[in-house]
Amino acid sequence: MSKITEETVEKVLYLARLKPKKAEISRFAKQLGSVLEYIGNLAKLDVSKVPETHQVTGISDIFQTSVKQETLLQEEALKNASESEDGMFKVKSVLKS
Amino acid sequence: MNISDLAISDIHDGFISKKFSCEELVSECISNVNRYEKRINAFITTSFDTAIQSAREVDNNIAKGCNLRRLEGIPVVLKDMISTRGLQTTAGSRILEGYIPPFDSTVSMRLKDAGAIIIGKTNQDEFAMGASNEQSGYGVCRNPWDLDRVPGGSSGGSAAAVAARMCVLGFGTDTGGSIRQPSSFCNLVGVKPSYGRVSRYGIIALASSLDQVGPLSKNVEDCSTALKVIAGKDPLDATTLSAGVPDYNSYLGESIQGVKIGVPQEYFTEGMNDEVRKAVLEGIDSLKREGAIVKGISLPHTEYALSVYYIIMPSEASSNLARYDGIRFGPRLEGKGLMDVYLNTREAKFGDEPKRRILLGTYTLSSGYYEAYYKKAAQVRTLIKNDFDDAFKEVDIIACPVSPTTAFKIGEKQDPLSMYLADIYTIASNLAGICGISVPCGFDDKGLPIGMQIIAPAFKEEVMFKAAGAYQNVTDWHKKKPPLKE
Repeated sequence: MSKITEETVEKVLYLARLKPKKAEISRFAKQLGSVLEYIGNLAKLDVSKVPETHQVTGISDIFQTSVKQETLLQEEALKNASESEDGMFKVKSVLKS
Repeated sequence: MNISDLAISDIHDGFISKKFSCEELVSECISNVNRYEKRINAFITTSFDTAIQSAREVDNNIAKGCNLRRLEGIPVVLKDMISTRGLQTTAGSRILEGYIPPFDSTVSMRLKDAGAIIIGKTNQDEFAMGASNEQSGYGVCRNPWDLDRVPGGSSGGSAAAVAARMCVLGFGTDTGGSIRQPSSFCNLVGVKPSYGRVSRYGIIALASSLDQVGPLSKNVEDCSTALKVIAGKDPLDATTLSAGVPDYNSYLGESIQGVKIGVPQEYFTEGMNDEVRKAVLEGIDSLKREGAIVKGISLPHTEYALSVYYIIMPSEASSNLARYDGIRFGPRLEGKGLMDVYLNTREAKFGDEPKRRILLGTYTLSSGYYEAYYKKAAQVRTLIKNDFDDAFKEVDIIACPVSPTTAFKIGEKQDPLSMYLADIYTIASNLAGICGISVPCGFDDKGLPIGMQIIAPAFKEEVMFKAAGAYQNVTDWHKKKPPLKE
């Protein structure tokens, strides 16, 4: 398991839409490094023939009956938005005009 | 004896016999909040006015001779992960400050339908990420048994509130031990139900394949009553099972003669505090005296559980936390373009621990690392689950500690990894989807509570309750109250 550089931390955090300060980056790099070192103990195990577990109940293909249900009103859905307009969430423009 | 010291069934008897009213009970809880909250900080939001109003309605209904529902007039607190319609729900994070859910979680809906009275939303580690409540965006919560110590986490606020008699019943979420560990730190009974037993609809997600909601209370019976109310199939959560919910209370008081209890050797190794070891082993002896058969077992992949957990949980969390972007809910920090809005909002409003876990999860899921981390963890998760499946062929339940230590001092664990290790005895049951309960089993030399954990196979909560009930019947650790002064 490789050592974590500050560049990697900054890049991964940017991918997750976070923009940490310099001091934060170096702290996180150290902390991530020690956690990765700890979880590196999994490398000892040969699990090449072991299936993966992603859920434990064993149930699958659960469908809802298609019936008319109460849903949120538009104004309720928008109530917590920091900005809305004409019944829609408002965001900064993505495309240049 | 105060009303809030009583068990739910005794409170109901008191209501019916007019020994006290629901309004008196709710007022007593509120006055305990007013008395201790400044020092404990168990709440993020309170709802006293509606609680008093509801209490008066309950009293009116009782006067009219209406039947009492299962939790009629019982003051409850909900961890702030649990969405409550019209009542602020923050998940302990500043990124959800001011968020008022327009809908109820299934859990809060079922509690309201059963007559429970919500008196507030409790403090917690941000997005349930922590074992101490120190990672809350709303300040540290303190342990009523020792105000210099943590109440445990992440459901620390609910645990502290029940221990300080600010309510009768608390609810938390448990992704890796977040109900059981604070219960053990605060001398309470706390239940992590089997995965799929309780609906996660409206529960703010940490790790969707691990999260479960459960009760915390002063005794086993209150927990089994509460679980009966919230458990069961929910069409709004496809991961809930349709298996019927037994009347758990009917298993309390049953003999445990012949019940086979496994004691996993891997859970009694170095790193455990001696007093914890002694108390838990004595607890197991008490069960033996009641007729249980105790045998040593092995869960050979125990040493990998924490590693598996710290890959799967942050992977799921990093994905779940992507939705907090300042657009649909929560505060927004402006920027030049949309990207800056995301970056500025998330950077300013997430605390350290969510950032660390987003980092870890994004890293382990990223292309090139996925196979080495996430896929491998999912494979080892199979081995951990198999360990329990094999063990439960030989034994009915497993008994072990909840936490390697009693409540630690605020600020004591500075390094994230040392905090992660606090959950070492609880996380495996989340990975395997089985159920567990923490029951008070003694105190250390500083007077801090110790918890014993009883683990049962998935959807065998009744077996877990039966053993916990039998233990409680022959001990009185759970009756001890924290030494709170005005």
